[in-house]
Amino acid sequence: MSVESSLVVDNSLQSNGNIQQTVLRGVQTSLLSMYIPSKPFTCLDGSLTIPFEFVNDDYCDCQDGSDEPGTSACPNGQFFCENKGYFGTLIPSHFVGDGVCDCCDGSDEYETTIVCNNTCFELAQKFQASRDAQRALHAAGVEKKKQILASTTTNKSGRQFSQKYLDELEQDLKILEKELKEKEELKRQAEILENAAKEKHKKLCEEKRTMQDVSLRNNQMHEMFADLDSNGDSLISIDELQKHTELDTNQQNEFTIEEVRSILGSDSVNLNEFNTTIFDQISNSYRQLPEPTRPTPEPTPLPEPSIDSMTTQSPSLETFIDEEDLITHTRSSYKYEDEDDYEEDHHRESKTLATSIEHEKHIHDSVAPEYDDETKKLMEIAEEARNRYHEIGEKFLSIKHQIEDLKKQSTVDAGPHDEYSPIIDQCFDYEEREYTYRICMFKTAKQISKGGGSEVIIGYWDSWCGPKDNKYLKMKYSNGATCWNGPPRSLIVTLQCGIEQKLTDVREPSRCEYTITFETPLACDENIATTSLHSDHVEF
Amino acid sequence: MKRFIHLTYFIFILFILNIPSIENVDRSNFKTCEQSSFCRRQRKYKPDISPYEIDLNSTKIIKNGHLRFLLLNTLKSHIKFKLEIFTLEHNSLRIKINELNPIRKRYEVKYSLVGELKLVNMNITKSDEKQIEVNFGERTKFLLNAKPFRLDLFTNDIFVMSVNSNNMFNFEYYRKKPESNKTATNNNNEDGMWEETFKNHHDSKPYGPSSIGVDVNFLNFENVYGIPEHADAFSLRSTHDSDPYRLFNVDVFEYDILNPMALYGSVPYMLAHNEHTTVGFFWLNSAEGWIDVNYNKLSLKNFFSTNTNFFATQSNTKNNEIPEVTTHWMFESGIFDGFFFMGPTPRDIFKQYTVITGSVPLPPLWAIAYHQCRWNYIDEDDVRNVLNGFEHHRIPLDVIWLDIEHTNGKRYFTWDISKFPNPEKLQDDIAIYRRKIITVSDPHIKKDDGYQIYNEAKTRGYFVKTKDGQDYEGSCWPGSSMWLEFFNPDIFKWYSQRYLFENYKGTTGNLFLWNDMNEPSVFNGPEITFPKDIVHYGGWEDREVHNLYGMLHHMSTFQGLLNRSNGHIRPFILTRSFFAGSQRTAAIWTGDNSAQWSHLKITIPMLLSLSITGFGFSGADVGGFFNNPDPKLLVRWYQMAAYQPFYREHAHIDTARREPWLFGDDNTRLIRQAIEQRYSYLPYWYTLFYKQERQGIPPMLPLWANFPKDKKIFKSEDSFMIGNGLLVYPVIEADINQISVYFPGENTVWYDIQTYTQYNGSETVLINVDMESIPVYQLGGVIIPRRLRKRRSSMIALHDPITLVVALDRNYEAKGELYMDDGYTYDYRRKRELIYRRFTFKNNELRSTSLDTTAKFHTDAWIERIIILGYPENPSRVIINSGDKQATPLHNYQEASHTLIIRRPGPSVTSDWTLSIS
Repeated sequence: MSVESSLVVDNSLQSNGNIQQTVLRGVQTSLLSMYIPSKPFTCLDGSLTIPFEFVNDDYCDCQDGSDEPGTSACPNGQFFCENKGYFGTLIPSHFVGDGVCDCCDGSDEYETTIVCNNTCFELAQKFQASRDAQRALHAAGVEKKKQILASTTTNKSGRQFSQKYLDELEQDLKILEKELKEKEELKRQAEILENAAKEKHKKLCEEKRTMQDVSLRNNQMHEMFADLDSNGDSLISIDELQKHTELDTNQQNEFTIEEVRSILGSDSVNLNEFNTTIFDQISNSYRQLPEPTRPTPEPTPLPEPSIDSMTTQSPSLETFIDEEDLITHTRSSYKYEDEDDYEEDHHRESKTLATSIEHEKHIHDSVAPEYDDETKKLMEIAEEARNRYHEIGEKFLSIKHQIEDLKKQSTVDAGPHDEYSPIIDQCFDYEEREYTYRICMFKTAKQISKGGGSEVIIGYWDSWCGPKDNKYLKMKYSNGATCWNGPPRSLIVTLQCGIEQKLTDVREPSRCEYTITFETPLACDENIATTSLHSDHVEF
Repeated sequence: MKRFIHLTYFIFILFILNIPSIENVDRSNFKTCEQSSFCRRQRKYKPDISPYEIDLNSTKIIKNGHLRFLLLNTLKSHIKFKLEIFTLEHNSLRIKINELNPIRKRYEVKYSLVGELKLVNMNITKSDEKQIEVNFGERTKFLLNAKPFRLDLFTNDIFVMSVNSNNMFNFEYYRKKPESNKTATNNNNEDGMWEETFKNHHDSKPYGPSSIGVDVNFLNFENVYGIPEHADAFSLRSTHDSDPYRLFNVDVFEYDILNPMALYGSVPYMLAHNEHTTVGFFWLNSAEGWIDVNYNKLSLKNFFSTNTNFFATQSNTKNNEIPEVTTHWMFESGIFDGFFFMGPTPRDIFKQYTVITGSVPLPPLWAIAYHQCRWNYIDEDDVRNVLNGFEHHRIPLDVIWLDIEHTNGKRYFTWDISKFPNPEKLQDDIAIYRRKIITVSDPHIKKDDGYQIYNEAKTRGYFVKTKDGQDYEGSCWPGSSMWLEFFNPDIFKWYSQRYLFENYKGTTGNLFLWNDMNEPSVFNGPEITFPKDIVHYGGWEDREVHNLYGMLHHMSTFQGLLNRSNGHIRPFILTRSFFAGSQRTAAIWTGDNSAQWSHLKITIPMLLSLSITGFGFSGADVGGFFNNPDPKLLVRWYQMAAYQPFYREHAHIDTARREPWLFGDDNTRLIRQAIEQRYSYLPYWYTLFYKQERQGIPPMLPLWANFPKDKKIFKSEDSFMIGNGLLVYPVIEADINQISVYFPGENTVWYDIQTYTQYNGSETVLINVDMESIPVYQLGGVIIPRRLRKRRSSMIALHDPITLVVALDRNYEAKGELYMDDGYTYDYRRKRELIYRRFTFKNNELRSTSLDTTAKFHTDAWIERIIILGYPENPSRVIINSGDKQATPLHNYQEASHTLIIRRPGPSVTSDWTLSIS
């Protein structure tokens, strides 16, 4: 700007008020040296030098807003609230004179009619009280934290120390793997014999069934013929059949002679003709006339389930190594499985269960004869082999998981000083109106419906996700069950110092993105507990 | 807000109500013309000669400006119609056609019209048994041809519009239902005249066919506009190969774009514009409507052989052909009640339509600032945290919104006290920043005996009735619901009283309203709305009044808010459903759009269509309601919407949070800048809204409204203008670094509002853009008032100083206006507490004079800065005189951009002053 200083005075129709009093309004104490009334003022970014009269003259000259700390003229200036009795604070200069009391001393509202009470003393008291409370909390918390840490063995060094144990486990695993292979071979052999015997039995069954079916059909056919042949002349005539209106495929009109004839194919049929051309045509819709009363023929029995489907499908060793599968067969014996992949597996398991019950039911319902003793024995042997195999399989998996968990534990980042290691795998519940929220630390977070129904995984342990300067403030659990029409569920846990370990304040700010606060002594800070001792004198 | 029907509703609807899958718009939920029997019948009606004739011997002059004729269908001589012609002030004409003696009274819409229409004299210049010719208004004329019936309209002796020139006028009179045993063979009874079924819904049609079709044709025009609401092009597309444009208020879930399907609101008003004339046709009818649009060439051979000079552009008619837009209008019921607006200029047209239906009243200042909404801000803490976010990130904000979840189980007029235990305190705290809160209130009432509103309405018989006289029950957000019968004046009044502080507990004067789902949306109804045979107050079927329901809902809400302050405070209401006249009491938004670039883009033609049909206060959900916008799309949307009338961010409950600071520092800054630009132009916007109230000119305009003769811009829908001063070319494509900008107008000059770079009119320029860019240009010749100071909310800035941006034209002249008042009361009307200034720059002098010397408004606001764009040289001296005071403010001249900045000239905005440059 080309400024001729001679024009400065009275250059505007707008009065500046008393410049002398207001000229240094809003200037930070530390910057006062930059604002010398007798010298031209240079914008703090160095972009422009202006007569000092332009400072706080309610017109924005500097791009950085530094010429108007005490007015709202610049969109980006800073106003210093002196706040005697409390902390001095910087507020945006566009808060000046906007009718909102932003400084506790009310100094930002010097030109408005609004009356700002001086709340600095009050604030200072509150601040002091809250700081004392924080200090007390952290002090007590730190004590508790020490106790917890002392009573925990699975801290980081502990976890590393268990390498020896890990080695032992891995040794066990190798032995078990070998044993498992042996058992599988035994099982395989037993099942070959078992299946052969069952196959044989099945064939016998089928032959018997076919015979049964033929004789059943024959009985029915004869019965029906006799029933239809109401005059007993061993012929079924049109008027005999016409009484059975249920056979009329076109129910809209009467059962005409033509329609009857089209069923019979002629004016009358004998038993043989009835057997070959008529019976199958009408057996489904045929009903006995109400009189004379006779026992209803049994409906055609359902085809029996194939015996194949009852044969136990034996998982191979490969599927065992693919543990998902093994879990669905044997999971119940692994306690820790309950906390891992629960939902999905649970779902799968119940499905498997349902089908097998159904199969069993068929077995009992059916008229199949019992297995002969030899087959039964072979089946028992095979069952025994399977059980051995599963026993070993379970042991194998159990150790495998222990190993994995140990490995995982030793890699979990449990805080800068490993202070969160005591809660690894520990679960905490939060009760809300509809749900229980359960977080198993460094593992999973779940939402459990109180009205019954399923549990929903809202996240698996992902990472620490606090702000750059305080990464360990927040934990992230992500990749939970996917929401209908939404993202996979996720959860942010904010840690906070507290005497008791507990979850509080669950929220869902976006659909399926949850937040919760976890109070724990482990989050208490020794520095906060002690700093006050040497810096008690806050500069108000 | 028709939100995505979430899980509960999904299951509910899918399995109980038989509404199929919900991927994108399910078009099968809505009728095609083929599926709407009257549309099917009317669309194929096209006789070679119209059987309708006027008996000119029957002519009656009711009074000067009002003629009446008998109209006959010569094929059915026993049916007589009456045709009435009214010549109205402002070059407007009204034609009404009704049955002379209908066996059932036909419905006439009253709610859309403001007051008594003023007739003007007719000058009958010719009258014989063939035709009658009448001059009226300013050089406007009509010619009524008797056999067949046909009406031709002329502006400045130019033939502009014609009715029934394509012989499609077809009036289905009310008739007795034929005996049922004859119906099978009776042709008359075919084609859904007496009943029809759509999906599982049966329409009993007890009164039979009653539709009206008519062709209205625009001669020598190549573009027609209007008839909202459709997510379609601004210059309407030919419907030759598609369904006609449909007008039927429905809740369309995830609507498609570029589609003539009906949406939430209906305005049966079409405009046509060419380089000579702008005209309009408005058929006041609240039934379901369909409109075909076709672009033709009309041969002039044998056409008015005696009157070939009717066409202004002889030069264009070398081949004896002129362009013509033929439109075919079909309504299911009611009467023909057509208004013809004869222009001739775009501004005349805006005035003419709003004289009939009313203009958008000046909204409170905060309502045109920035709004933050979401389905849903969960509880008081959430609301406070969001507000703190705006504080912390230094983003201005005026209003925060609460969607349906704030209520106790979707019982409107209640609060979920577990989430909002102390709503008054919340509102009071928000009021410290002079911000407002808006809650939603829908017309469906939860069926629940424990709900007081339901109970009272049920006891008093206030719910809409089925054809059998039972309370109509349907499903909506609360589950089983009933709908209030707003057509009954007692119910209208009773409902409005629900908004009084004593009835709507937990509310303060700082709370305003949002009326959603008022088409109405009925999840299990035919086409997701009322059955047509529902019987409203007065015995009218929904078929006859359907498109009015939403308007009556928000009109009643408006009345309630007005009464709440004894008429002192301007209400604010946002409505989703609307009809012609809704603009008088509510702002509207374009409903449930989607976070897609295509939806960002379609916003411009949708808002332009609304603007020119009276809805100057409208907007679209920033970011798109459904789905999650990527940050670029969100930023571009904030940038574009900063220059559109209603500026609100809104999102579906299933979307991720989208508050402006959630997308990284850069995007936060870009969004902040966009919102700050909006706030900086609020003095200009507010002035434009005042002009709209007075003159009917919407703030957001198509380019042709300001440059009516520039043929290159008649189809423009990638750009728009704010007032006559700002040209906006928003970036509406992903990943582009250049846009093509056409500067309209001959001999005009334009200034980039950021860099002050100059561009010449009638030129197309490639402009480089990055994520910072919001290409906006100020027209040379226009002075725009701005506030370059920053504040937390618009109301806090009310008395802040003003910066004048004077953009000089080629003659170094410019003018502009500034309107100011208290920003929220009716004192500007009742006590004339306002200032309305005119600024004129001419001969190196800038003057401020009052446009309304009888008005006064006290404000400390002063002129802190004057920026003169296109000033040719560095002046030696600037002097300002105001009364007996004089000052010589400093100035700064930027040679490169020819910009002169005058520092702190200092006059009060209320005073007269002159600034002289030498």
